[in-house]
Amino acid sequence: MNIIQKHICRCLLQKCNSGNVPLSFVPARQATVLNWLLDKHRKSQLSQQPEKEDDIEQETIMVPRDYKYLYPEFLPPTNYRHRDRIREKLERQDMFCRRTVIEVPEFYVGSILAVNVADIYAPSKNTRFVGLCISRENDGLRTNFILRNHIDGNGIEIKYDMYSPLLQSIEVLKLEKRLDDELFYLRDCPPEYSTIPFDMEPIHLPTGSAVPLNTIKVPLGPRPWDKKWDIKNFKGLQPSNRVLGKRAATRLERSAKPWEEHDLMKQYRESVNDDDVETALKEVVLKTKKKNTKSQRRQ
Amino acid sequence: MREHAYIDSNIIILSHVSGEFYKIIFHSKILNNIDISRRGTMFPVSSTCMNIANRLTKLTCLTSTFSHNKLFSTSQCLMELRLRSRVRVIDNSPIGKAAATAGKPGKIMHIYNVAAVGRIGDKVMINIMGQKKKGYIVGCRQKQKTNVPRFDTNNVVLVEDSGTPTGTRIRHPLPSCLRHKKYGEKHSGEFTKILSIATKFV
Repeated sequence: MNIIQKHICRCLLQKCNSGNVPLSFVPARQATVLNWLLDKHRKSQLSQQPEKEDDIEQETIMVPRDYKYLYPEFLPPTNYRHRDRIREKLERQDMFCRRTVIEVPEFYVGSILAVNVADIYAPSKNTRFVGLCISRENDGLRTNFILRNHIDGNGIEIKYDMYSPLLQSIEVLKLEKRLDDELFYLRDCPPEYSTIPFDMEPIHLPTGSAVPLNTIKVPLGPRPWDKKWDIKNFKGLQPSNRVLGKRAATRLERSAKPWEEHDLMKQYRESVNDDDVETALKEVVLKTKKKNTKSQRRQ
Repeated sequence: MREHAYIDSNIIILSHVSGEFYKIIFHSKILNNIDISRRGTMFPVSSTCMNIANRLTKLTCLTSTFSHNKLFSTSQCLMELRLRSRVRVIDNSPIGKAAATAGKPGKIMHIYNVAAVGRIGDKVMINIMGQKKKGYIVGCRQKQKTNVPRFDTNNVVLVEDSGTPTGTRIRHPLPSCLRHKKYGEKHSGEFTKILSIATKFV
């Protein structure tokens, strides 16, 4: 429990008691902040009052549609239990601070990136790694992505924190999307599908064009595999000709969940509310506006 | 520390929970069905106690239908380097090449640390082609921290008893974090000899 929470807790406790119960009965230090106390603090007028300078502008701001995909880490977490309005706001500020230093480009799972990282043990004080982005996880400041490459007969994956101060630059060499949200199955595919030369030159798209979708279907290598990729319904995998035994077939039948695509409640739980998205992205629009005006003034 | 669940003669002991709920399950349902030879075995647990209970209920079904000789994995795949796990030699030593061509990779006999789990930069003793060799782990298949590469194979570089590397060149990339001085200090300079024959870092 940090100092602020402690302070809030104590203040609220004092208010609630308001002289009826002597304060000596109230435990001075509690292991956790009580939920109802924290809720009360959040619902209070103090915490709901927006910042004054944004008040007028926020009504007129229109959020562009593609911002949802351009800034996915600015959205609140999909899991409702992990949400915290104050923490998210603070994190967004920090992320913007970091974005003033390095340029975080638009990229998706399936794009090819080159990353420069500060490395005190290297003679040049930094290392460069080029690879295919196979996953993009988490939200807020903890956003990370994994790059995969095949170098000299070694499949190599490196995970990077997107807002780590060690990152010096992120460069997109090829902007592309794949059919799946994560490409961990490349671990068990032939190496040519994850081999990327280190001296690859960036391929630029014409301005205003949509992000191309790579519809490549990758064949799986021989077993044993890391996971049972063939029964997980990946769109980017070639259908395997593995003959399932009686037991495996029944297991596959049992694990199938055909109702999930019609499960509206599940879709709702896994997506973020439109209003929440807008409040988060309005901040982004405001900050980018301010940043642009500042840079114009300097010029 | 990783949590373990033991099956003793009559009780299940969980290192982090000793709730009666699990005891009752064991007394009434599972314990009678489990083969006696399996008692006292250790179950590495990935997440929660409930998981063990679930797994053990499955175990009863399995023991009743399948032969007792059939082994099955109860743990999640951690990809840890433990005793008898197989490794790939990446330097150009003749013994490493012979092992690769024969399809008989070296097996770890001993790991020189307290946890007995091999991680990047740890010293191991390997049984390779019927010989006892020492080596250093340079690249793991296990999940790594950020900025540390995860390899698709468990890579090892062989060294002699005197500390000099068996091979003369390493044609595979090594993780850059191995250049940290803590590895050099830990193994009294043996590590710098390996780094000097390396060609590429990632």
